[in-house]
Amino acid sequence: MYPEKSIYLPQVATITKANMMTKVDRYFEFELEGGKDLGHKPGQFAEISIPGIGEAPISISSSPNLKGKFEMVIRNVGVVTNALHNLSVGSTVGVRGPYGTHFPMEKLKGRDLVFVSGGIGLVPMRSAIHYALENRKDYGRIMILFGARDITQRLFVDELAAWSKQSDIEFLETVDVGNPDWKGNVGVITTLFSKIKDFHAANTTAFVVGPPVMYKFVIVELFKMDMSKSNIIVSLERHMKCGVGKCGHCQINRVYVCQEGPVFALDAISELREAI
Amino acid sequence: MDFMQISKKDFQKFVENLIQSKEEVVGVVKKGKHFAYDILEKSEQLCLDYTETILPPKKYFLPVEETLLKYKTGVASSYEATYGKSPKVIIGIHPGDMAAIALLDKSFSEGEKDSHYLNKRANSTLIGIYPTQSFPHRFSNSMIEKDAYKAADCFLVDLGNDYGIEVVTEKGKKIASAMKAVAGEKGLNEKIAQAKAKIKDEVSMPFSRRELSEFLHNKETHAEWKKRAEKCFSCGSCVLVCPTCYCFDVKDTVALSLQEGERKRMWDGCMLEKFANVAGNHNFRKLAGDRLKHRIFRKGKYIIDKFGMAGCVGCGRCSQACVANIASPVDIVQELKK
Amino acid sequence: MKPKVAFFDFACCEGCQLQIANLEEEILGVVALVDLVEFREVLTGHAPEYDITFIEGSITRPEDEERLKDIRKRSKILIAFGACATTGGVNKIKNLRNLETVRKEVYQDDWNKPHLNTAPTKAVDEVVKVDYYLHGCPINRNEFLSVVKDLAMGKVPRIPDYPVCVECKLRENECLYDLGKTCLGPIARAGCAAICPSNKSGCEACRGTVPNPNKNAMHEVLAKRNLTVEAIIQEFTMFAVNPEVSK
Ligand SMILES: Cc1cc2nc3c(=O)[nH]c(=O)nc-3n(C[C@H](O)[C@H](O)[C@H](O)COP(=O)(O)OP(=O)(O)OC[C@H]3O[C@@H](n4cnc5c(N)ncnc54)[C@H](O)[C@@H]3O)c2cc1C
Ligand code: SF4
Ligand code: SF4
Ligand code: SF4
Ligand code: SF4
Ligand code: SF4
Ligand code: FES
Repeated sequence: MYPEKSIYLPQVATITKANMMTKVDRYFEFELEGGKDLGHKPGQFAEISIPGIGEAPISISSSPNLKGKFEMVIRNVGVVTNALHNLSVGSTVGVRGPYGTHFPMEKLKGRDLVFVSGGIGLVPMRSAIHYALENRKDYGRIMILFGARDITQRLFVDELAAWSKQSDIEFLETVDVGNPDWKGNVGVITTLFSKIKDFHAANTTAFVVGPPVMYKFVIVELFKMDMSKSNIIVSLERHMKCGVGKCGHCQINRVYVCQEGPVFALDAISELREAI
Repeated sequence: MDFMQISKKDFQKFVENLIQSKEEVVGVVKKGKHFAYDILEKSEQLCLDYTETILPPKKYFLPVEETLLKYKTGVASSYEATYGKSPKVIIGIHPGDMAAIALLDKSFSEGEKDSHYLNKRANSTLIGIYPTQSFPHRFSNSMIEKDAYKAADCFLVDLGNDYGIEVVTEKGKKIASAMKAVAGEKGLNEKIAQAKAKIKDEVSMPFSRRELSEFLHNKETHAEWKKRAEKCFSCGSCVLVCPTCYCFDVKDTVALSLQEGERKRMWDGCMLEKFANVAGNHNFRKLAGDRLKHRIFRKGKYIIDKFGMAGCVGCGRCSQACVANIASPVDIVQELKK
Repeated sequence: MKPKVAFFDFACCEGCQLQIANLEEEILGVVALVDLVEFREVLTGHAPEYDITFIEGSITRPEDEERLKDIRKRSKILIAFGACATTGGVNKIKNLRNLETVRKEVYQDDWNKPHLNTAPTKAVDEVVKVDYYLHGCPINRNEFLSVVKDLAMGKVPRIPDYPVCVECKLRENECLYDLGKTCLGPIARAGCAAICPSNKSGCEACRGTVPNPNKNAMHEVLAKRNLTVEAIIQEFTMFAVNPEVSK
């Protein structure tokens, strides 16, 4: 018998906290058996499963520095995600991973960082934001741009409020559709770029994560600000089944997103017509 | 590589003994007017003089549907892996299919090792055979180079009353000695080479596989994809019969008691409409033309670029299976060349 | 608590419910999962509300529409059960002809009696909202079991959206086109394990078509085999699929 154990065999994790963040998004904190660390890097994902229901790839939202546990936010869109919403604290799930590439935080020391996320794109982005803030002195300016469809869709509202008050963060936020209770910006996320002052393109790295339609527009905007492809990092979602480079579902042209992504430098994928 | 020889009669005796030994032996058998790999119950069923089987032999290592894990419903600590079984010997694999198995070996062992595939694969001895019947869609000669020898344990070559045997691996040596094959008489290797050289395909790819990869480089926006796809049913037949396709879907199914269940994988294919669909009904490969293009690029470019191996082994099954008659890689490349 | 389940039948051959009755061993398992409160109105004690209602048959009379609407009001989940219910099925053939002729043919002298009053045949979803579909003429038992299990586990049941050719290939059938026959497998919705082609007879798309069937290509393929347009239309109207397919 081949010695290696199945790559599809999950570990066990327990839900230690859970609460609804919006009508469809639920926050989770998980602990692995024995308080082990998942051992991920910012931007990676894991396959979460319920025996009898199925498996889904979900981004890890917490920083690797959060020890003994990890966080996720799961949107209820179908069979597995719905079942996850119905589990209560104390229930167990299967976890495989971490998988995929990560945001190259080490390599970016000394640079200015601009995090651009739309909607649920904030979830994977948050692991990088937390990491950068935990190592604040390693980075130059930290700019966080976040756009939600409307005020009911905002995630991690307490953290958004804290970031907006923190003097060493430049925080800009908008909603696509306004509301009388909303005093902030209204408009799509690209309308925030003109509000950034003294932008130094050459010394800045941009992170972009959001719904499929967002990338094109944000990237055009970044180009207008003289950003080069090599300094733009994106995280892309695709249909994924195995997470380990076998099932073929996640391919963008020749690239397997679960292995060579989900985090890509834009220059590495710009010749892939199916990418963006 | 050693060269050996066995009379066809002795070979059949060997197959009969093997079957009697209660090991699972698989070979090519007749299925209506066509052929298929199946478990042999007696040696007479084996039909080595065949055009092409409906499905390739990969079904024994990557079954149409296979259980990966078993569990008690809802109990995450109860996950348990299952690895399945494979036949002891598979007899009659054409060089194209053998090259395709070599590709699957590579893909399932590269990076994260898929022990479900590799366990089954390690358990089997593969006896290949050079084709003796023409198959109008086959173009293996122009695609596979030496890839078949990365997977075969031995190859049979029809020499009239005898089979010449090319012994490739240790496993091949073992099975050849179990056959009581004899060391070849002088000049056997030339005889085998001559017999192989006589095997000609009726169609051929106008490029070597390296050239094909380069040729496809700037063909992504060619009008042919859209035009050809007007006739496509997105039925998936071309990928489901393909020996080099290994995409799969994963599903959980529970027993009627709802108390226990299995996580299974089953064949899937990029030509099916929903293959690249994600939540929110966003389809990353929405048009049939994009899917057709993806398939041909996988076959003719991505795989060769990634693994240095044939992504299409020219077995011709897709051309045969496509009801719309648009799937042939050779036809498509000819059209792109115009 | 076990979900309350009801079955109702409208115009159909009742072959689909026979499939359920034929489940034999599994029926005990099903009964363990659900609480069967109404089975074609033979059980008494009419529970006013149902968690899951299966509707069999197509809707052919105005009073049926009222009855169906009432059932819908009392059902949390409503499932169209079998081709008659999901597409109109065989009953829809009459839509293509003069209704009066149909009635005369079927009921002869009685044709004008009010209780035999017939309106154009409707699939269930032409009258009320349908949550899930169990296609097929008759339905596939395994698919039925998997839908029951899914619902009992709170999962959204998934029915195949790919063509019959997929299941046909996975069973390693000889393609009927290679045997000189014809088949609607490339545009027909799977889920039946390609039972007809597996028995060497062409698929007639009794489960309706895939969501996005390539009708033109199907016509072309059939025409190449010297099938006249009439023969093609007849082929398509056996189950009166979506009548547009034959347009
Ligand atoms: C790298 C990565 C990170 C992700 N991170 C998050 C996250 O942090 N939070 C979150 O809520 N979601 C995330 N997703 C999306 C999430 O994986 C899908 O929403 C989920 O798989 C849907 O599963 P389901 O069973 O609930 O839905 P289903 O009932 O299976 O299907 C609903 C829809 O989703 C599509 N779908 C099915 N499987 C997948 C799949 N594996 N990937 C994408 N779409 C699929 C189907 O085609 C269908 O249209 C991520 C996806 C990827 C690839
Ligand atoms: S190319 Fe042919 S076999 Fe492949 S999906 Fe299209 S119609 Fe089906
Ligand atoms: S693409 Fe066609 S010819 Fe090539 S290996 Fe696959 S089925 Fe055979
Ligand atoms: S992507 Fe398509 S062509 Fe490639 S292995 Fe998967 S099904 Fe086959
Ligand atoms: S017999 Fe029909 S269903 Fe089967 S592959 Fe051929 S066309 Fe498709
Ligand atoms: S093969 Fe076609 S006609 Fe036969 S049961 Fe399936 S869908 Fe219906
Ligand atoms: S998710 Fe299976 S190959 Fe990437």
